[in-house]
Amino acid sequence: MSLNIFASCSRVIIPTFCQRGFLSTTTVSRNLFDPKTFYEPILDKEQATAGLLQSDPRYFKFAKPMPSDATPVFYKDDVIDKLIRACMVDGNKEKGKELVYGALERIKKRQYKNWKKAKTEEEKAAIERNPVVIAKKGLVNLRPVLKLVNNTRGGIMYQVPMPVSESHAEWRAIKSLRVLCVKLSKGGHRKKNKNFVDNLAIELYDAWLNKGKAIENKQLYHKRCEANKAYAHYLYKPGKG
Amino acid sequence: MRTHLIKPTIFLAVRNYESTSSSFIIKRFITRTSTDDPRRLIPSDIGKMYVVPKATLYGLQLHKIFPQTFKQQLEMFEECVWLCRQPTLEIMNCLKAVNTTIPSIRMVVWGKHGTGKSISFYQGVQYAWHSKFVLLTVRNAMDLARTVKDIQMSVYKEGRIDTPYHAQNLLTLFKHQNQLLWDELSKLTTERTYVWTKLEKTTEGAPLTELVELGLEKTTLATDCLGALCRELRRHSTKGDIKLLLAVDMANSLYGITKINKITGRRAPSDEISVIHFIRKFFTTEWYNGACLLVADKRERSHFADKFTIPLDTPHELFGEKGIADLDPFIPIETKNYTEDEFEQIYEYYKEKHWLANPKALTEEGKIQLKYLSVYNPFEFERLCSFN
Repeated sequence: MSLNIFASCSRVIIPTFCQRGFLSTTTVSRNLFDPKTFYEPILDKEQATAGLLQSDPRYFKFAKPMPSDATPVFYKDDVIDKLIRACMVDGNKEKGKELVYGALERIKKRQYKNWKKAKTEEEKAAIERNPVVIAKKGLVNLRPVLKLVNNTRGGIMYQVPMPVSESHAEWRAIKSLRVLCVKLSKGGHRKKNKNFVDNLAIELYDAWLNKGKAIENKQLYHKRCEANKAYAHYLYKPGKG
Repeated sequence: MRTHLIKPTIFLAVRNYESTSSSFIIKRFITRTSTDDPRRLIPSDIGKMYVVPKATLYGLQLHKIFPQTFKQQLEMFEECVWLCRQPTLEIMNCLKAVNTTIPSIRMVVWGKHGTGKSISFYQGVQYAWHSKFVLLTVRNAMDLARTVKDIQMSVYKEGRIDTPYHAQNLLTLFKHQNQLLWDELSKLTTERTYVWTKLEKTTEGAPLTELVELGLEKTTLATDCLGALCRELRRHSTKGDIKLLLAVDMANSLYGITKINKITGRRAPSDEISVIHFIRKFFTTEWYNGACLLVADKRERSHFADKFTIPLDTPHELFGEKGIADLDPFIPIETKNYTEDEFEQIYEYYKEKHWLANPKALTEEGKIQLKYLSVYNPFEFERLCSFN
């Protein structure tokens, strides 16, 4: 634990060995719950009920409280939770959940109708009725392969294409989808299905089949990256990939 | 240093449930009631499911007036199957007691949000249709007070406001639902002449169906025709020619606020709207051989921006002083959350229809979690199953 002697005098110039947190080996300097004494809560039901062994360092620590949103319900999914957080406004998580689960409901109804129409057993088994599977595959299809980064040289701003990590691609897919659905639900783009929920359901379903407006936007983005291929060496660093 | 694991409370509750419950028998089949005919349901049928055939659905126009989530379920499953619960049998027993010797029976269905008030209401309406009642259903009394389509000042009574759009909707529904009794109704006659305008009048001895047809043709006369029809129906039911059921969903809105403005710019109180006045007369006048089936709904009293006040669900709270003074004495019928057996029935029904798409929802653990997350509330359970 770091000493807090110099908390009151913030403008005094002090040597580095006297600064707050110098002796601490923790990575985050301002964590209320020091990782040496507190451990993250166990969210998996079987692990939590099984108990900890003495060989586990967590046996000698305290457990942090589990966030109320992280309860291991059977329908909990990481990607869907991210989508809910993206669709949330002003911290209203209930509304975000309503929107996303409403979209999943509509996808499910659409596939249920197709399932009823199918006549043979093979056709019925081939139809995917789980909306979470469709939504996840749709978001995977929406991931871009490159991203454009701003780079100024000689007073001119260039858009340089760069490779993208998996987490960043996932974020881009979710954000572009949310932005598109907000736009479609506002400005008279569709005569039918004007809600955010309807648009989200349609775009996720189409993205699963690799068509639709969200996929088109992704492909346009890729074309812009291709057009700026000449500037790729501005930020290319050999050895760092 | 002694440490302790902070276990999530849901798992402790699950463990206690596992040890104390005895209903862990897996029911593979849905149990049906002894008959699909609501006239012959018996107390041993509580907790079982029965089917509404398509003829009754279209005859009662239920595919248009059901609540929205149930309507969507109808579209998906292409059949109307619902549970026989205790409030349904209470309503049916009250309707069996309708008589020329006792005044109209008033029933008020009340309960918490999502416990099945509207569904029990429609089960009662179905029973009445089979028992050859004349039905006058109001799908949504909040609609009457709050949606403003077109208004006109009443000619018959100064200060009253006519709403021809709502009156015509009521008359069309009356016509559709009483098609099988249309011949009988055309034999019943009016008591006196009604002079509508210089050119139009219905003479004494004209059939009741003429009033309905006139109201549907002329929008300016619709509300007055509805009022005349109400009076004539009450008169004939006291005589014993017909049995009458007045069914109003969200009935406490009859004593609530309106959104109709007068010329002065102020909101009109619900006394001054003629359609609401005609329906309220069913409670203030004495008539025999009939019943009123009402539902007390919280939507009238709850405001979307006010998140701190929680109105009570009881009829006394929702109808207010004036409403209770008009309605008293009435029979309160309470709707509650699902029991263990009822929950299992609905779960098995969804399973049979292949509605649950998440494979985890079909496991035992998923079922236990559904019970705890929905708290055996029908509305919450339906919402949880919609995306799983």
